[in-house]
Amino acid sequence: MQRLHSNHEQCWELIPWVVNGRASEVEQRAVLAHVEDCSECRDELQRHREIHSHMRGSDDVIAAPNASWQKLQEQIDLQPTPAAMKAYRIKRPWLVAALWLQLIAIATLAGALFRSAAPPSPEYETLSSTQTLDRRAAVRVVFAPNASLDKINQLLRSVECDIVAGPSEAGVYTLAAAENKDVQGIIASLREHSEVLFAERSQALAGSSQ
Amino acid sequence: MITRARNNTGNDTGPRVASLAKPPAALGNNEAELELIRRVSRRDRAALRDLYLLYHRRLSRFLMRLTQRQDLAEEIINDTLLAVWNSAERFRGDSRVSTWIVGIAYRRALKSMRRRSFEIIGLEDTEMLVGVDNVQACETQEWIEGALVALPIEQRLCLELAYVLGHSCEEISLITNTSVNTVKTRLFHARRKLSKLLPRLAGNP
Repeated sequence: MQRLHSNHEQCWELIPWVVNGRASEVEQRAVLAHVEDCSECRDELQRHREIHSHMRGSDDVIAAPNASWQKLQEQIDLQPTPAAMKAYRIKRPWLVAALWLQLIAIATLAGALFRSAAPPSPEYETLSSTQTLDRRAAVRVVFAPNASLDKINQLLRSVECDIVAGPSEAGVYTLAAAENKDVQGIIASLREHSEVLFAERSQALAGSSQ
Repeated sequence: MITRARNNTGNDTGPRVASLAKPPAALGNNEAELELIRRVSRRDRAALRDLYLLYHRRLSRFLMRLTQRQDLAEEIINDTLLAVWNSAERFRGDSRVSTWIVGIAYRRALKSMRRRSFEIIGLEDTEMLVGVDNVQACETQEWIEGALVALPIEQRLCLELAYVLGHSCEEISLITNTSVNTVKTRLFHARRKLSKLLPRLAGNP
């Protein structure tokens, strides 16, 4: 193998373009001069002349394309006309929007149907429930600042109530009365004591968040 | 109807000299083709027919070599010309008309060949085909064709575009929508592989 020419790599790269006639005249002359001294490039040029000759020589052309031309014309005729395409493009956004609206409506109806068909949630509470609902009636109370703890306990025992929340920032306690108790009676009883500044029925149940 | 007329690739140097002397006529007259495209963009079917006849011959040679199936070659040609009909008004003439049309045909051919999993012979099979024991029994044409079929499809297509349709490196990069360096790399690997598969073509024993 001889690589006498300094531009061997460049000449080697140019060989396909010399073979297919796309190299410039200067490039062709350079490559042809180079192959005189470089056996590697000479072999490569010879090989690709053979390959090129083979590929160009295989004249597998399809004669008489009339049938294919007729088929192409039919394909063109089957296509929508440009005017129809334009109309289609204008209508299309509405069609897409309508389809989306329909989809949303169907999803909403299906959701409503699913909710109505679903069994009602059970009314029982399990032992593992993290928060059981305290269904007792609730009373909101504010005690006097000077009311002693003993007095307050005594008061709560007398009305059979428990403190379930509080005091809030305003000093309001939430009391839970025993079920079936007369809440109004409890409130009236509490109001009779000077240690109670305020007593009102709470709108929420004792166990619910307020 | 297919006409097959292979040249004798023995020691006849006639075609080689011609190919070195001038660019292949297959590239056509770009100005004339550009005018045809303008007329096609105005829905002129006579212009489309002229373009069809012009490219049918060029593309059928290219596609028949690739697919070896007339029906498939015809299908790709028609798909290509239908795309030309539908998008002629968007062609701005940034490249040669032939580069644009062959680019469309290239993409369709590549897609079709990948979809249909052409019977591309594996390298091992080809090595067996051109192995020392079998070389003597093989015709040179079949030997070359076997080596070409053994190339990865992208490498082979670069070679087909260069040798069958006579495109330059830059035109092939546009047709295949890749960089010039990618085309060079593909050709480099194709040539290295061919030099191993076809040592006898270079005059080696």
